Amino acid sequence: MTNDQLLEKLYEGSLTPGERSLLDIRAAESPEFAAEVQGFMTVVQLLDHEKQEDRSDTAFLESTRSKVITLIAAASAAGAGSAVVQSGGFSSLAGSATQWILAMLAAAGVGSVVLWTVWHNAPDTASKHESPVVLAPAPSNTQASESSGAIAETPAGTVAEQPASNAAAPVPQPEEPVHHRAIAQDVQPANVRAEDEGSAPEESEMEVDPHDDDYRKELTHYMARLEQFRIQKDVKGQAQVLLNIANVERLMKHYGNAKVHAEQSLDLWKKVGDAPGRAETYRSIGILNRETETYPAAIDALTQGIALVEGDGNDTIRGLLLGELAKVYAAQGNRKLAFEKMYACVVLLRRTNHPDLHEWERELSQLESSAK
Amino acid sequence: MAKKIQYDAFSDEELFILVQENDQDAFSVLYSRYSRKAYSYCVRMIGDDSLAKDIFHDVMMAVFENRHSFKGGSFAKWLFTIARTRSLNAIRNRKHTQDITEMESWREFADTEEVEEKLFVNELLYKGIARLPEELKEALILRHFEDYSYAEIAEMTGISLSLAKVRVFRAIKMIQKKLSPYLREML
Repeated sequence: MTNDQLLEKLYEGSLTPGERSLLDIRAAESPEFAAEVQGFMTVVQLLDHEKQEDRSDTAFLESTRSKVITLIAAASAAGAGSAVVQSGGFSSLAGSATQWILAMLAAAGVGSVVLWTVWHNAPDTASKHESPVVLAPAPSNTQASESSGAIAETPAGTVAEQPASNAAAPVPQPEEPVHHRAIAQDVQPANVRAEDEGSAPEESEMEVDPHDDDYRKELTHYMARLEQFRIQKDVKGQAQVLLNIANVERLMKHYGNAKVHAEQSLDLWKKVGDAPGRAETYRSIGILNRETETYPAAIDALTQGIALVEGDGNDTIRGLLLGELAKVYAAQGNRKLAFEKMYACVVLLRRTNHPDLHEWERELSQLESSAK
Repeated sequence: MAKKIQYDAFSDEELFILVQENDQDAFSVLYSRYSRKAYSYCVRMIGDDSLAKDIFHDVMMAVFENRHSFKGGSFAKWLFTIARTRSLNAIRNRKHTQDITEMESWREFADTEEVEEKLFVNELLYKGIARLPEELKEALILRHFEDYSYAEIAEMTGISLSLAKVRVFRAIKMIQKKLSPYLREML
């Protein structure tokens, strides 16, 4: 048995009497080994002492406990649905930035107008200076700007890591809350408005996107991420999360809020000098404007995005911007320009072997056949 | 009048089922049971209080966000798996950005800290643990500080039982080697 094996057994407390004797004999014969045994056991004692050390920060732990409990409360409130909003349940939450965001989470899908109104009328606290937030899974074509290569947790209950966006500083505050409130009215769900105005909701307003639940789940995630980035003063992270939020709002057809958040994201990307981030956000704005049939604004946004990444070798973003631009031209009936831009898009995405390449090729093929 | 729920009598897993139903009190009890332990784990793994706080916060958010993906088994293991993964990610990310060299950090700390002798050695030990190679540190923390058996460590880290033992032993030996100049003064 080697000296190390004896030491290992000594640490584990599994030395047999015979092994104990062997260790003692070797230590007696070799002062170096005796010193080694003594040093080893001193380290073990130090480790035992370290184990007793309370390295926790009580204030921090309590603050974290409160945050999670607030999230649970918000999740619970979200489950309760519109009753929370209509009963004025937010009043107790409108006190801090986090709480306000969580309050929005609770009411997601219930009524932006009510939320904005509460926000606007909230006590004059820091909460007024925070950005309104909403959900956001990146739509299929949306590129996450960075990936962390983080490990996934495997045993019972997996945890999917999000892209490790490096992110950011405080979100720029809306200078004119009333403006946002006006925008939000466009997306107010029918049930809230109907109750306020005492009239029956129109059928079209009653439509509910079957994915809304998924969006709300995403919102929970992004709320937490945005808050984390804000605490960490990670501007890029905030910019990315705001962009994601805008994308989901767009998917939910909450175009007013989507626009506000995309513009906030744009400001943050600009602040940190991230051209690809800005270009991605311009793409989101372009898609939004195409969907709302404000084509000149869509062309303007997409062109600005293309200019930002032109010449920097970022073929993916440039290709996607060109593809969206093609869609706008197609929507305007300009088939020639649409085909040209889509062709360029496909060429660039082929270079990067983009995962959605086949979809863009299909778009190109449709444009080609319609041109014939 | 409704009877007050005796949360303390519930097992971790029973409490977490209530957490999945958004029960704040259940979470609070579970948090009281594990927060210090999980936080200490993060601090020891990462060796940087500030980053450890971020990671611990992240872990707790992950517990909340993924509460419905917990399908049973040991809550404690699930929690520590999340903490472990986040901590390792943080260490790896930090390595990419800071390029800390082990010896330099030891030397730097030993040369610059002006603290009382015993505290000094304790701090050296703390920093020494943090700067152990990742796999050794992990094994040592799980065994010595979190009281997991070698079999559990082997299962959690995907290694053999004998390798788990070897790693813990090597970790202590490495600390011993690093601390040897100071240990001589203590003996």
